[in-house]
Amino acid sequence: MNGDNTSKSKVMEDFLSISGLTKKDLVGLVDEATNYQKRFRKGERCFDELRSHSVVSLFYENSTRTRMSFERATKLLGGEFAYFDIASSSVAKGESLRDTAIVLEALGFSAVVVRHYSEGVPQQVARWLEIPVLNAGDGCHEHPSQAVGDLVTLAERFGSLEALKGMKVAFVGDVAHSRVARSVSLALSMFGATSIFVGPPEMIPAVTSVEIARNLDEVVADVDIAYMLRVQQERLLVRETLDVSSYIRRFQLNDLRARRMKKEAVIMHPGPMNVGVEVDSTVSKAIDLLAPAQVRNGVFARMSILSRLLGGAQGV
Amino acid sequence: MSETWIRGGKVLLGERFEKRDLVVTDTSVYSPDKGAEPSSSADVIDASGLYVGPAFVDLHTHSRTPGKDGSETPESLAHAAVMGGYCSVVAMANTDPPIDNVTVWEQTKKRFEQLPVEVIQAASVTLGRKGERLVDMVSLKENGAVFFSDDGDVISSARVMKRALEYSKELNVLVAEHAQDAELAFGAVMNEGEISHLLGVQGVGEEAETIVVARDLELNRVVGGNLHLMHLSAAGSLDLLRYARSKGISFSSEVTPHHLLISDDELATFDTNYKVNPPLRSTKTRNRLKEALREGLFDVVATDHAPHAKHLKEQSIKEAPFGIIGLQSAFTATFTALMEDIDLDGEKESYRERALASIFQMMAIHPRKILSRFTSAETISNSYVVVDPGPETSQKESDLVSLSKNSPYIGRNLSGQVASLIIKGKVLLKDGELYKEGGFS
Ligand SMILES: [Zn+2]
Repeated sequence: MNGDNTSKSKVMEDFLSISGLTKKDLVGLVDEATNYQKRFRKGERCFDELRSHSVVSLFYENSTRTRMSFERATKLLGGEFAYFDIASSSVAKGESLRDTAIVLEALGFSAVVVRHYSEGVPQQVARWLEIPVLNAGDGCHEHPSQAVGDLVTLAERFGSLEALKGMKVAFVGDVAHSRVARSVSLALSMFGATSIFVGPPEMIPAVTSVEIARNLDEVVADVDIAYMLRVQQERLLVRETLDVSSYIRRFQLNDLRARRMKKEAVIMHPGPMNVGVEVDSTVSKAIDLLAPAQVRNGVFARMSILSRLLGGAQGV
Repeated sequence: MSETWIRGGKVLLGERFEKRDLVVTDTSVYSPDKGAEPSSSADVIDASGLYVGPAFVDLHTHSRTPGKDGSETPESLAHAAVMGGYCSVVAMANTDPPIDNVTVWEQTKKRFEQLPVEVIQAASVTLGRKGERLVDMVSLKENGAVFFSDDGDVISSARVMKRALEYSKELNVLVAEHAQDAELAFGAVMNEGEISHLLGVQGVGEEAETIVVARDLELNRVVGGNLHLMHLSAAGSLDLLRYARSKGISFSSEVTPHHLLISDDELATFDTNYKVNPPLRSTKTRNRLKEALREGLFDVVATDHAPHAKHLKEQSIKEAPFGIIGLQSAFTATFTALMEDIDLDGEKESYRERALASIFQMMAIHPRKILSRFTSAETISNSYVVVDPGPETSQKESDLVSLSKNSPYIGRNLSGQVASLIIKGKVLLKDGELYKEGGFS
């Protein structure tokens, strides 16, 4: 479903969700990111696509990593980057979200990167503004730029996006509240990979379209990708009844389980990890090996997205 | 003396319409003798091709008076009610401060006295609407309060609810329940289902409603008080109502126009004008609600008119308040819902008439019947509304007269129109426009 039926938000006038993109869009973005990756490796550091553009971040939730990644991408492309970070809700000040967003447009920025603790805020802002809006994570909904970055990493690892066809991907942990899992599993499904959600009932959405496993042991030997999600203990322990030790027993990817995985299988984590909860220390070190690639590719993915939105894109 | 002639319309008689003229004065209603002509001082409404019935009565309006959020005034509320064909509305008690004692109840009631429509002020069931201790229902009743509700919140304690029902019986007043388990609904923004999972938005399932409906019906089986179940939205509630009816348990029930017309998939755009409580349900449940309405399971259609200022609705879906406005569009939305997915080949005229007749039952006659058990309200007789089933119009924000514009129908095509409204012989609305300022000057 494309949730953005406004006059402006044709797919690539904003970058809001994986669910609003086609496979062709994603192929284009990943190809372009791979292109940037190659040029970067050859030592190129000056790209021109965002020259004379200024991008602003509107973050209602702290995330130094994601913001820095967007900032780095913008600056590599020759653009300027500014922050408009909001520690507390504007409700208290009697100002609407719309008022805040409109200020950014009035200040003359070319695009706004939005992160919010509530689902849908980038979609709302995109409806209100003429300039492109990028989703840097909205509540438990989507984190689409992370998914593009992960596709770049996986295409690199397995040789191509087409190689993902027929693969099995386990998303382990709090899938219901994970915007990363939602975006990545949607993206992977477009390339013919099948998702399995692994976790206790309070962490798995009651969807019928996806296979569900209640114990990692059931699936660990079959999957090509194990996508380990961060267990947000602070959230779960407040109102739910999660017993951490039994969670670990059933769902932690530990060394023993990791050894049962296919030889070519990949373990991913969106970071930051709770070592000792969703993964043990041995596995965390294995993930650490891939993490720099994920972070690097995240920058190339965002370069690709930004240049597409702000008019400098080549290719598809 | 006000006198209005409604000429050439089809007038509701019992459950059917008959073509005849109607004269409405402040004290009486009659059909004029053949050949009789209106006096020069009388107003005349041409209702040819239109339908005439008793003016609408809303059992569920949030007036926001007293309150400081600037979402509605008594005047803007009355204006919306007039545009919607209402002569009376029941104002909920979840105001700021809440209506939980005689003093506030009387002060608030006064605030509505000069309006062209009648506002029946409800009182809360518990002090501060906290769900713990009952308000002084005895004194409130002695002063004229007949409608009690903590709406906005459920009465969580079965013990408190049972006691309230006992008083409702002793005092002959109505207790109206916002049936939704608070624990299950905690943190929820929308209906739990396929759409909420897709959006990652926290949802609340229909069972949050049905368990409270079941509890309240069972309590009232024992107590035999006056129970009204508000804004029902769950398929499971329908089975419980059928069961309760078969067992002779006393209750009345309502459904809102928006639960009949709109499904939860609209939330996919994260438009906060679709954020309402109880939430919009799946299309499947919505269709079940429509079937139940056609079957006559619900007693009334009530608006749950809930205005919110723009700066509050222009927040994130998580922070924006629940509620949508509905007085002005209640008839058109309900009519559109009832006509939806009906194959009109050949049967169009007769189906349309039956739909209109049932709307009059649920928006005018049943709410009156429920209220008349407890009060001898005067305004609500001698008041008539003329509706036009013909036009299909795109709803525009600029047409909304409520101070708040949080309507889910903006940009949507709705069928039918409230043409004219006559309250106690006086014309307030004529051909869809306020007549002589509608009594607001
Ligand atoms: Zn309510």
